[in-house]
Amino acid sequence: MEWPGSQRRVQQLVDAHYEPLYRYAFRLSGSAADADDLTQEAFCKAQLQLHQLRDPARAKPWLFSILRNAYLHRVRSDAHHKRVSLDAVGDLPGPAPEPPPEVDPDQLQAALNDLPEAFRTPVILFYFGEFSYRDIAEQMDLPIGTVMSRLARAKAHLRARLRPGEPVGADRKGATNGM
Amino acid sequence: MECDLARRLAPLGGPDLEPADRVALDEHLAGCPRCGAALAADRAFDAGLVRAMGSVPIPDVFRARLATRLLAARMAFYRRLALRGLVALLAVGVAWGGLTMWRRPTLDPTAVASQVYELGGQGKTDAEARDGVTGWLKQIDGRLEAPDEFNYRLFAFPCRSELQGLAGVPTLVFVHNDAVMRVYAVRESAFRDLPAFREGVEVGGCVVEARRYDTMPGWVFVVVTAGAPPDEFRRPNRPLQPA
Repeated sequence: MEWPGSQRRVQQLVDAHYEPLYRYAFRLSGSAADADDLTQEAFCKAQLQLHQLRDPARAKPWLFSILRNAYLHRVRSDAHHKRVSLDAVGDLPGPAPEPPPEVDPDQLQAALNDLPEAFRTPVILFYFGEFSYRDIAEQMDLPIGTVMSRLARAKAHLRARLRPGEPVGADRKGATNGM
Repeated sequence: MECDLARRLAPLGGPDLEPADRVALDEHLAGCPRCGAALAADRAFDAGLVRAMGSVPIPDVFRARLATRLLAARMAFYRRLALRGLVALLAVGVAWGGLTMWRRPTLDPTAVASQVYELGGQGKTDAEARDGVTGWLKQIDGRLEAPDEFNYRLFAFPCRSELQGLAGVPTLVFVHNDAVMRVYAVRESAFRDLPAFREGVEVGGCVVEARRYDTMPGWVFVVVTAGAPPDEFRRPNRPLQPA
């Protein structure tokens, strides 16, 4: 039986990381309600497994990992939401379309929701969590080359989806970016 | 460095790029306008993504909800722990009870009868019975022996009994018709007033005496007789010696 960590340590962890963890959960799940649940669940698990965190400097990636696992556990099937396939998207970024002056957060979330989790997570970790490729590879238990490839493809998808004039969410018809 | 390689390496950050590759990349970007422009556009897009990615409002009540949930989880853990402890205690109790029940002896009438015969005075001479009592007393204290003045043919059984709060007091029980005499062997210091208790006292038909013997210093035999005078339990032709 695992004992919960001391209340003071848990409090410190919550104070330092609850906001970024909530935002990560939101970007991952696309829903405020799910983000609420996932973040609470992640901290509850962290409270019980605090003894596993030997280096306080690694608290952030540790928490992000717990939350991602909780998310994956919840997601039984992606069938309820059609995801785009990035198989046709190459690794090497081609000539990029004109980048938007500013990225709309809602449009961004809609574009993220289109991505399979395997591509969505690296993008979120890279741009939101500011993790390095190595950190992401470690979190997802993937070779660093795979992480680079998925990031490049996901980013190409986002660039295309966030073009000015591109419809948002349900208004979209057909595939984008060569899919 | 070729443009192809530069475009592959450009997105990599500090910890992901070897120092030598970083130098080579920087040199290429400085000298290649096309790659430089592409990188600048890419970085502008990245910056926009970072801003948008972090633009998620946190509900005002979320922090409080989280604190409540964490406390509830902690309390639930302690409740589960207490329940497990209770179940474990119960299991130990049941196991102990089971073991105790299993280890109960079987009643052997022959053994019981034999024990009564061995310890009692029936069917024995006075000397034999007295020797038996001495043997039992010496198990308790090597200095103890059966007082010589009593008629051990009237001896019924020995036991350990309670005497005014003292537990496990060696006790000799004598029976004669309807009369009973109980002889308690206690230390001189067991009672505050025992050293001064020399004369016998009669209380409601019972006689209470304190008997001392030179061969057993430090021990006092408190003799309680009911239903007959104390002399009925003494050996014939053996006058009572003063204490």
